[in-house]
Amino acid sequence: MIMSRRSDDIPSALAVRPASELPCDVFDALRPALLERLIALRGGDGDAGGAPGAVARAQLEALLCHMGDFLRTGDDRPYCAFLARWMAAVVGDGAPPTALFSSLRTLCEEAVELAETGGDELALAVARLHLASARILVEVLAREHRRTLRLSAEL
Amino acid sequence: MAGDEMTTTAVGASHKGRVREHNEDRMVIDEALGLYAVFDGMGGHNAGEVASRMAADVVCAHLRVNASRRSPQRRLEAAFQAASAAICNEAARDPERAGMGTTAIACLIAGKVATVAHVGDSRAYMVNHSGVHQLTRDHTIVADLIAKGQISVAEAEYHPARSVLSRNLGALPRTRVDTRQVTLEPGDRLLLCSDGLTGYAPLDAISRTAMHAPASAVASDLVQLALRCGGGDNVTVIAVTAGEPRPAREVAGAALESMWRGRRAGFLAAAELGGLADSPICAILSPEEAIAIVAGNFFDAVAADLERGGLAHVWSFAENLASGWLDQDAGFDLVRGVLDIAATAAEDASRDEPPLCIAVLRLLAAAEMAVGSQIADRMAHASAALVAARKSEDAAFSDHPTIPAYSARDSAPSPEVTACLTAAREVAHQALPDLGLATDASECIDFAHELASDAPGADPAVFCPALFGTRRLSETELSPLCDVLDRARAAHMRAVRDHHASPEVRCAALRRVAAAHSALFAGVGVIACDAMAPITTSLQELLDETRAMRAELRDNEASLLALGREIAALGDPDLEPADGDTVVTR
Repeated sequence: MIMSRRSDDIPSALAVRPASELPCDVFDALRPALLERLIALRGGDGDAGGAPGAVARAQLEALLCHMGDFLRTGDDRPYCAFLARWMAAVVGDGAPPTALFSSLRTLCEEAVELAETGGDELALAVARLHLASARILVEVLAREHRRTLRLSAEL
Repeated sequence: MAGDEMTTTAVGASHKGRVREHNEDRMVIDEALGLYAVFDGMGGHNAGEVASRMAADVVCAHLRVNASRRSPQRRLEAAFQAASAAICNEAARDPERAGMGTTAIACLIAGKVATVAHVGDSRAYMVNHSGVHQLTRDHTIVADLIAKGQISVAEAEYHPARSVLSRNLGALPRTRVDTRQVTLEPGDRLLLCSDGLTGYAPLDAISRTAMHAPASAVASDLVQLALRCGGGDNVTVIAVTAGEPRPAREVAGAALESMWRGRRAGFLAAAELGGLADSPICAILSPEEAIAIVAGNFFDAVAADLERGGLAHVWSFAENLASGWLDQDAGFDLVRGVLDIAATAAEDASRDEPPLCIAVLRLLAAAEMAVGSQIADRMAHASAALVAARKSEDAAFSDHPTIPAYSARDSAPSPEVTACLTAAREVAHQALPDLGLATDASECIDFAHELASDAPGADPAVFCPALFGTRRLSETELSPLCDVLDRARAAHMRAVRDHHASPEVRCAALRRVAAAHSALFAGVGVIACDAMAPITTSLQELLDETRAMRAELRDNEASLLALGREIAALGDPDLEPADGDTVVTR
């Protein structure tokens, strides 16, 4: 049940701590450039599938916005709920859940690379965000898997 | 860099494998010619080695001599024909070499254009950010049968003729050569390989390594992968990466690896302190062995990936850990525990050096994703089984009256209403076994109760994704969920209605529960709409395109009509059609 997943479930060493103002502001400032890089990366994909351009842009913007909030507050609940919805949208679009990891990895790797231009503090914060995002997605997926198995058993 | 120029970095690796005594593969990396090629020879008495070497020599020589104005396709094709003729002649001359031959996959790069030619089952792949794409079709009997639809891909794996080539260099003096051209973009990577790679390593593992390994290590990483997967044949890989190399990162990789190696003791101590030895995963090991083996292997995997700038080792570690435990009860929790301990120890050990810590965190994220991929695979199987099971049920929609939701959550519930809600929740839970699909219904009642009770943190935006899960937008997946939500609501409402509290308390509780269920239903609907958005947008784009095409068609028809009139007027002015006449042209 999603209520049980709070920041205190994540080992304290791995939790995303609320970052100081400076890296958050720098991250916010980097967001437009990051968005354009991600859109450009996606653009090379041609018609290989996925959401149309405007929808993809909106999804990426929302994701970056939630990342920024997560970075600022360290509160994983809204971010977690967003990632769960994102997963629902991606899977609903017919993509396998592994596509999520591929997208997240591309996005976060780009974010870390760009953040490295903003100094160690920001890069570390974004790298932690990368790990936390992957961990949350795995948790969401594991919960779904457990539920699927339970439902199968009930039937 | 000039407009059409493209810097490339080419590396190759070859190994005789774990079974064969000789390496009959041959590779060519000739930067001056822009030629990259792999040949996989065959034939007894070492004739395979002779055939592949002859092919490599003849193709190179032919291309050097004929660096003319002919197209790259023609040049490669002519070089292949010359090689085939030479091998065929040699086989005819020496009876010990009768029947020798070789596959050939070659790539000629000029500017941004790569021309690929092949004969046999050695392959070329294009690797870019969108994935790994096979550029060649095997010239084998089974590939031909698949193409004709006579056998499936699954059947091909076990087909007795799966290794029989339908074409090779040397079987005949002339052979048919397939060619194609691709345009390279910076970051694109071309892989040329013998079937010692593709015949043993799974495609997803090849893809992962091909996409993420650094340019300097990708070929050797892929050869190592094939060896880990059995290495039953000679294996040869050439990787050509387009764009400027990134030496800075690779140099930094060695420095990071060195820094990490210096932290071994600290990492192992932190893992021990974190309780790694107490994990049931390490139950058959002594505490010392647990730390040395499990933590030690993870440490070494991180070191290897830091050095190479890749993620294959950490990925494999996490994948192996997950695949061994996920199918057991509580398996995920155990894997989670070990990953968290390893991650915490790794971060503790690297915290004082930000660049190292950042690199380690990236690898830890890769480890999470490896576990996630394993879960995703299992979930796909479980979901398919579940959908099949549901299809076999005659799950009809229930038809329960819906109580209007009015305004319900304008203030905190009174203690009497809270007591009524709590009791109703228990009663509703007890009614669930009779409903079927109890898991979803149970969660639904819990979520609705928390919303109705104004529990701290209760939020439909958090609950609804949990209810929606990863369903696809199909009736077989969404209808049962809607059915369950409706049944849970009805059971919950019934429990409140039947409670012994006063009518006023029950009425207040009913309004709260109804509003809570409405919120959940609406939230799930919003998520379904979100999931549908890409589809509807695509439809809208299609509609717009259709409209534009229709308009263009109307314009064209009008032009055609006018043209017809002009033609008719030229032929016989008296026959010029009046407005509204039909003119047929051919």
